[in-house]
Amino acid sequence: MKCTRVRKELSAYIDGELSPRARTSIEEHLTRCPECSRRKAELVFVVESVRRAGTIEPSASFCADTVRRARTTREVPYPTPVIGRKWAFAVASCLVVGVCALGWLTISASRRGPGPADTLFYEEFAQFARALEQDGLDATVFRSVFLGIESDELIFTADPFGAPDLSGDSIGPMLDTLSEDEERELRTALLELVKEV
Amino acid sequence: MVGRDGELALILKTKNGDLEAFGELVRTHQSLVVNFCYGMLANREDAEDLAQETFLRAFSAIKNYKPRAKFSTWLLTIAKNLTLNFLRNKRRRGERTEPRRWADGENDPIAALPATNPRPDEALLRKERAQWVHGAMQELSDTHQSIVILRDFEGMTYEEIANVMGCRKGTVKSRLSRAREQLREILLTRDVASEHGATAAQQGEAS
Repeated sequence: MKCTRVRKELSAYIDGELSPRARTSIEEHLTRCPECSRRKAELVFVVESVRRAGTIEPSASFCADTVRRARTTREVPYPTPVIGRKWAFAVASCLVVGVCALGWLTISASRRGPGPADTLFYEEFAQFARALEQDGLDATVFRSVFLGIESDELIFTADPFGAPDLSGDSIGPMLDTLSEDEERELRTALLELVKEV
Repeated sequence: MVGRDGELALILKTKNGDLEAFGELVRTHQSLVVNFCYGMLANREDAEDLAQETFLRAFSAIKNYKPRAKFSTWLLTIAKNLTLNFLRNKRRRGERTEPRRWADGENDPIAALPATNPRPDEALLRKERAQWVHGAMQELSDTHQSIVILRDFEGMTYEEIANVMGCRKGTVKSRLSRAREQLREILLTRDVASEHGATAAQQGEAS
């Protein structure tokens, strides 16, 4: 095994995350290469230093405060405006009319198929995804990105609670492969696309 | 400390709105989550705020939790996303991230440790070393820093880290290797590090 290869594997070697065969190869190399042996010693020192850098104890009230906040969040009813009977009737009527109108529009839209705005959206989307695919990026991430759009900024994790379900093509790892400039460019392009939509 | 079955029972109770069960889950995992956030932010107040937010988000979304992932992994995934967004927003607003040093005893993780060696020069050395290491970690990218913390603070396996970070195990391996290499370069080339570095090499060669 060459020195460059050994040095790439040293971190996993220290963590015991290598196969027995790879481990043996590295150990053999280390016995006859003082430079790699020294590099290993330095890495062990780095790892030990980080491990000893110290952790903190949560505050004594952390748990109780968290539970209290959970209780408050759950028990506080959604604030409803106090209005008179006449106004309540008027608002309820408007709501009923609104819901009926929305239902009618939805049904007629589904009969017609996607409207011009939808078509534009999907065309733009597909075009943009194709362009990025040509650049070697995985277009499947766009679903996540679009789901994650909140107000005027992009939240790169669409579902912060579903990460164990995300596969390797999720947006997070993809962004990690981009440089800051590339990420900024992607962000700007997406924002522009969203504004158009 | 509750076992896996006990934890699942607590999760089920929490899903039914049992706050006592939720409290037990918080007690079991608070140190893990607070220390992850603290490793990323080096500020107790921000770390505890984000850790609390993590638990509250978990509480509201606990119906989405699927037991095939470890509960701790799921919590750390939420904590990781919250801290990365927090840091990103902070930078976007042009705020400088807090320097990773501890000016007072309250925030000093070394002062909070039980004194295994009462010699003041030893305690000072340990404190200096911790500040030195945290300073170096600040120079890593957020992702690299998260991976180092998950591995070396939280003791997670590569597989578990991959689940938290949403990437492949091989990616964890290469990123951790790069992050440690960067730390090695920073720690062993700084002036302040010279004596530690020399000791490191000696200690390592002796081992």
